[in-house]
Amino acid sequence: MINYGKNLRRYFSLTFLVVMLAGLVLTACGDNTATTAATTTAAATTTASATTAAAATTIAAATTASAATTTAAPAATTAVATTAAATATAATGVKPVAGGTLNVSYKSNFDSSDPVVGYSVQTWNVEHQIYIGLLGYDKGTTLVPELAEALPTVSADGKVFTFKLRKGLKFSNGSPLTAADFKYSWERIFDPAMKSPFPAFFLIVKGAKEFGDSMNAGDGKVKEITGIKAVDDVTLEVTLNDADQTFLNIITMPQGSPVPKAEVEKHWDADRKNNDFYKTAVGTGPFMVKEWSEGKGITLVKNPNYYKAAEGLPYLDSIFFQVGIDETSAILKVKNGDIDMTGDNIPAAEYPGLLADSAFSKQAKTEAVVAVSYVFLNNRMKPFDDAKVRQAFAYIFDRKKVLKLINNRGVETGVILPPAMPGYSKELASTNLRFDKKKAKDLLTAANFDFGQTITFVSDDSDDSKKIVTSLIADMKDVGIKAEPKVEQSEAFFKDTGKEKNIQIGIISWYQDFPDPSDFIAPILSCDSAIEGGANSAWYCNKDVDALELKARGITDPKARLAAYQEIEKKIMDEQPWIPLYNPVATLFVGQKVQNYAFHPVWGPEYSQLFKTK
Amino acid sequence: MVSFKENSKPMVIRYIIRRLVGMFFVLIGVTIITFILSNLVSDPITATYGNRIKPEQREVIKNQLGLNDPLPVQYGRYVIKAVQGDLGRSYRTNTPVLESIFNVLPNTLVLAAAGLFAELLIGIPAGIIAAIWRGSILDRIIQGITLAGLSLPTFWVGLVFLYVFAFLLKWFPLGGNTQPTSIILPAITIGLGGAVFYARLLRNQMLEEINSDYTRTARSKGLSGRKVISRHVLRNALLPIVTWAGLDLGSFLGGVVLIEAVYSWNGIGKLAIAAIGNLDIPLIMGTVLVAATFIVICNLFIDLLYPVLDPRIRLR
Repeated sequence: MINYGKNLRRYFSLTFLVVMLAGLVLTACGDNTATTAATTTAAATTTASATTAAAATTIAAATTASAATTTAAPAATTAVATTAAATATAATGVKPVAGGTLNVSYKSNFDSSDPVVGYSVQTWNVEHQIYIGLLGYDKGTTLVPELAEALPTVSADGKVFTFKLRKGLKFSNGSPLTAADFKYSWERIFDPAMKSPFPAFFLIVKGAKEFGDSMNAGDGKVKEITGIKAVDDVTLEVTLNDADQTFLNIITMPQGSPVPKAEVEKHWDADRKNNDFYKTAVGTGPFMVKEWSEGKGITLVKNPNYYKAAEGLPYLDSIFFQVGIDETSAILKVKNGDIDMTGDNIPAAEYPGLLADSAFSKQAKTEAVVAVSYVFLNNRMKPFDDAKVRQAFAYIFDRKKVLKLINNRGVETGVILPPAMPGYSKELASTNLRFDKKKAKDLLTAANFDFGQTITFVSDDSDDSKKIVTSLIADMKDVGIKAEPKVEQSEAFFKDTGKEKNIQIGIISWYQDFPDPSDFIAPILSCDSAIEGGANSAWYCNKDVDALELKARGITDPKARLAAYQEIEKKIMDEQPWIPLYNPVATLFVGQKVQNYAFHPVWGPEYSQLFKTK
Repeated sequence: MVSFKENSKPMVIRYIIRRLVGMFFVLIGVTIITFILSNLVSDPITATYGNRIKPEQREVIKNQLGLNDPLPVQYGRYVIKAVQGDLGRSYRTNTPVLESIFNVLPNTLVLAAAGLFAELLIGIPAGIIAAIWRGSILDRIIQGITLAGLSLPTFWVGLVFLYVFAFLLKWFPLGGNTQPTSIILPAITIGLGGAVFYARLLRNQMLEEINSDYTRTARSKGLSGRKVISRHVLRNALLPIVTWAGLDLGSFLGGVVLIEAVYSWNGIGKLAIAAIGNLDIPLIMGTVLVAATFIVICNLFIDLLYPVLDPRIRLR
């Protein structure tokens, strides 16, 4: 053996020892403690690292989602409390503590914090902290005034809305807010350079279509939306083409919030093609942007000009929405107290474990979201062009099995409208939870169903979707129907559902834009939406239903309006273009220091009401 | 840098120029392939908004982004802008791509450097020990560990490390790159994964050199074992290590995807993955272009380093 110097030997031996020790520690600890982490998290990571495919789906699903809701429906009826502090104390028994920073984790970057651009659950929840509009919601889904001093007066024909602004309103940068700011902000949505996905919502405003067309053509012929008038500094008058109460919900979406013209105009690039307003994002919400950094996250600080600042709201000094935190690490971080709560859902694989762990089960919050996941039957393709076949299919699927497969992250449903949506009918929901395979077979035989054909069942490539479809196909086979699954990448899947005679049967979800039943009918079950590139995946079209829906929109009496929507829902369900399966839930993990936590049906966690104990 | 007779200065310069021209074409090729592949998948508007956006509005946005132009036109526009240093803007966030990349580039540089350092720090000594004490129990233990190390997936090792050292023992932060100590676990994870490779490579190389005639000659001339190892055996055995280290550095600079994901380390790898998930074509193009540039530059650098390490090698 070669002889070498003593020092060299010592160095090598030491290094070797370190390596060996590290290995030993790894193996020793790995045995007992790391197993759970490794097995449970491995699944999560696989999903994450099967990146292009699975992650894409999750993101697509999240992108389409728009808001969420709580199961705590009784809370919805509670009147708005007199002062925020009183509410907080009553709810938690702990006196609110002012100050502190709340750390919230997210995996993905935010899309854009410009209200006319951002369109995902993640972004909306944060945008709502920066921007608020004329109206808001109480703890439930009832509209209440925010920047407006009261609900608007509505003309007798239901077409003209007049809003009065609160006095002395200011943007977070201190500049005064007037009615003209709303006109500017809503017209901005139609600027093609903003590349906003939202113009369609505002087309109900008189003159909006003409303005939008002119803006897109760039001819400068139409200078304004004639239906929006700033009568004086505090009076805003809006005229619609037809009576439509959903206008109030539409302007309560983040893109209906005012932004200051002077600030926005500063952020155009040289050729006026891109606007970087999202970086400063000046609004009227409880918080304002201190730093927006891609890859790091968004830091919000208390807005001193918030109209409720005198009430001591928000309690927190700042919120740091940190991005880039893997969902599994986020759970460990909350347990360790490194962050205060997760912004993303608890990973599917971790969820049952957390609920079963008595130390943490109370911190794992399960909140139903205003969404529905359903089987769509293409009404224009065989065999589902026959209503009898569709009605028979309603008896085939075992919803409980589906929910078990997704670790019970959902609540079974047989109707279109989710429980937290105004107009939800318990009665219709209970009668529609059909499951009787024998009856299904009898009905199919009676409908002369051809059992020789093979049906292709299509889904996107998310883990949940694949599991669910496997279960649904097994149910179909029990009844004697031949079926095979087809998995498509999520973008391709969305495109294919938007083609008329392409997908026979598939599963998909719909998340609310705003809490009004029209949002679950017009965009996905109307004749207008049964178009190439539309979202009516069942290609269902019934002119009677459309007429009823148009009428229902204009009804100003809330009770009569919801009754009208219940009738519409029943009419649609009789024809069974879909088989609703379940209402998905949001699952958040909230640290022990977080007090007065509440989850809003539209906005998610109510950050402005939260406070932290030391 | 290259200063020996065989590789005269003009020759080296000519060599570098030729390689730079080659690099340009490699990068053009890479961007063409990436561009075609990303456009084959689907359209980015559907990727961003799913089925929630009205078909008319989809057209408006596509027009604004220039997505209705034929692909060669779109590609040409991209290249012309890229040459001027404008990699476009993200479809999803509207942030300039270069800005996004520069935001995370420092993180990637730190991780790449630390990872490479850890690899070599563990791998080279282990390889040397195994070679010197070849056949001994120590050698076998190292061989065993390296085999296990090669077989363990890095993301799994990363998760175990996080759980043990960050969650249970609380020695390090639980991922993220907010504190100076944040780098240690990711670096060691990369280090262990790579070190086993270097240890085995170096051991085999050194054994070859130790058994060669010139080593025996050196020994017979009375050189001490330490000098033989450090001056002759190690120097010659290190050549392939340099090659691999250079390639490693290049690929690390393009992002260490799994490590970045496990440790919530916001580097280029994560940026690229998010871009692919959102079908954010400008960002996909940008991250791929940056990664490819690092790899070709590191490659060139290694080739230039060769003659320094082994004067017998000539640049052609």
